[in-house]
Amino acid sequence: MEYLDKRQETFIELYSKHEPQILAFLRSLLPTNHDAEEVLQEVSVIIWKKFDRFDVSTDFMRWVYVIARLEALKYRRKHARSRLVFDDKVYALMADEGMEESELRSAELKALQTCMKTLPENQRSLIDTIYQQKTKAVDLAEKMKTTVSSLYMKLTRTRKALYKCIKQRIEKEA
Amino acid sequence: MSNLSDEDFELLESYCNESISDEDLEKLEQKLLEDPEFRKEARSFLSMDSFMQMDQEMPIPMDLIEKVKVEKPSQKSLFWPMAIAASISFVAGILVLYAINANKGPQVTSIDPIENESEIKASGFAVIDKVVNVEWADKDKTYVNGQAIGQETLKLKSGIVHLEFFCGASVIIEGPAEFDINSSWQGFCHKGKLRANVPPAAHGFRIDTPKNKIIDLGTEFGINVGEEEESVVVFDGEIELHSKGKDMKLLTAGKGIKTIGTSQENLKAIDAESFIKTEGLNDLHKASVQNKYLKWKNMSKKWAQDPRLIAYYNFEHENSPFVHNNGTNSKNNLTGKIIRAERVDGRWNNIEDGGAMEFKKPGSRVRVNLPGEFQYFTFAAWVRIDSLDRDWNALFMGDSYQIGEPHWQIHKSGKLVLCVRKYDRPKDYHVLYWSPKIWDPSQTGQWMHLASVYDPVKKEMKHFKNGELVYRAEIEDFFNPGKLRIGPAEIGNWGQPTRTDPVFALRNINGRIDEILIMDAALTNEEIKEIYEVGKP
Repeated sequence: MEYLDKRQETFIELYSKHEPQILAFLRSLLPTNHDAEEVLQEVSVIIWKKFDRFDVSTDFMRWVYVIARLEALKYRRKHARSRLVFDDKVYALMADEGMEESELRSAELKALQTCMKTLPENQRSLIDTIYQQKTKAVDLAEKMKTTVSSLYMKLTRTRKALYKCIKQRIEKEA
Repeated sequence: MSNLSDEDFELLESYCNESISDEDLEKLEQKLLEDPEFRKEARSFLSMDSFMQMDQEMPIPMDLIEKVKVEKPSQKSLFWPMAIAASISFVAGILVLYAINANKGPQVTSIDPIENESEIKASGFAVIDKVVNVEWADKDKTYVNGQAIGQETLKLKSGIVHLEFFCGASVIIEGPAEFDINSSWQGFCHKGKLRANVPPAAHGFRIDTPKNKIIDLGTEFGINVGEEEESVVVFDGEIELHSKGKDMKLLTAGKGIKTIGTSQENLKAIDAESFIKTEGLNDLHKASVQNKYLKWKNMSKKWAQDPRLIAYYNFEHENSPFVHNNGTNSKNNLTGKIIRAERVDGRWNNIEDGGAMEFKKPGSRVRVNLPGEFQYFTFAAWVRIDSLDRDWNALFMGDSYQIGEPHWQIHKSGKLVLCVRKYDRPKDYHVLYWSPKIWDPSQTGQWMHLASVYDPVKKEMKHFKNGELVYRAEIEDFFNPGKLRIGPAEIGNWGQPTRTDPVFALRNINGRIDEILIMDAALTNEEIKEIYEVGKP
């Protein structure tokens, strides 16, 4: 294995600092979390390969967003049949505007971490099961002896509460 | 405050659930196209949807390495992008791991950093069964009870060593002496006094001296090699004596021969009592252990009062499910709770008080809670490993492994590893400091002293085995977490069942821990050496 040089170190630092933002950016352009992750994987490899050509004195996120946007577009074309893919105009607007929101994203992430702690235990564990352990809603509903739709209702309630909490916190801090 | 109406929520929610109707989808797109405020909220909402995949509270980076290893077993060459890709495939993907390997720079270690060793062989021709009051001639070449040795020379200024050769012969050497182990059937006595006991299975066992060659035919014999003269005496059975320039002689019980220069004479009487016997050695050994134990106990009391102590558990026998913190300076109750771990004999075999904890059973652990903020860490423990069964074998582990919390453990490769968490997620840097190999199966069941010192002030991380520095690395600012913490933690295991997930990693160490010192100080090499010297059985 090779030594990490200064540049690799810089890359790691920048990349890990911004990874959630990149993922969120992709998420707003693509139909599902799964799609966003797939593209993120592509993006991370590309930016590492091209990192030699990146001027560290310039805006890292802007550079990454351009690459991410392009990769998301390629992915969209491949999966254009999915009915959840937004139309081109919406896509372009979301991308243009999303590129300006890096700071808002990190504030939201920070707020989310705080808000998660305020959730009741059962809601937190639902998020954990669905989002982190990636349990399919159908399987979980079966396990919990409930219906998928009532599970979705619970999820919806939870997300709504979290979302409101995040917005409230950001407003307070702003 | 969010401006989303209930209907807006519903659109976004059903979109996220992938359950949105075609009609609503159209509505959603229309709204996104027309309303910039809604687009902004939609991005926030979808971002939240992606953030939620990130583990919020209980990051388990070490597990991630294991998973990465399992999934990407053969991709050693393509190192960087692979490492990223691999970590990303676990969604959290936020983890970039470093390792600093012995004597090398930092490395990315999502890929197995350990060279493949197809089979680790125990090496040696003999085992040191007992070391009693020995002063070694060379301070760098000392041996301990239970140690396997290969082709080596033992040099004793004084004291007694009991060797068990793998052929079955047992040899008691009395210092001053110099003795080579040449194979599991053969030794060379340069000087000193020894008694060999050779069972039938070891017939043919041979010891050479400068002037003679003694081949055993099933017996017990003694040798005394001085500057000028050598004597060989047979207590029981029969030996072949081959002397330079002389015919081979058979010597039977009660006979002895003295060689001076080139001449030989029969000994009229043999003094069997002047060669120490196994039984006598046992008593001596016991007395010497007792003596060392008392010395250690005295020092132990001194250490317990050290103001730099965070906690000190010496596991002396007591009859309760708790382990007492021997440290006297803490205002907090640092008593540990024993879970499934067993109280067993420690390194002072046969000494009633001298207890240790055994973590053989899965799930066994000692739970402690060490609150506070610290500037340094020193961990020092006596450890006896029976085998390294797990990928990671815990010594002392912070429960939640948050910023500034330590994980001190032994990797299955036999390397001692300390890491201290640097960042919280999403920037999940931490560095693993790998010692060189400190254990292999030939050391099964042997007590050894391990210590690791983490000094963010001097920017220095050090590992020690048996009082000797075996590894040193610089702590780069990049990895320096600043304030250190412990909080709830475990000795001998790791893996609290998390809130919703009853599955926990098996990290219990298959072996024993006897005495663990945790200090808010960077102990010096000399202090570590002293702890080892005073504590060694």
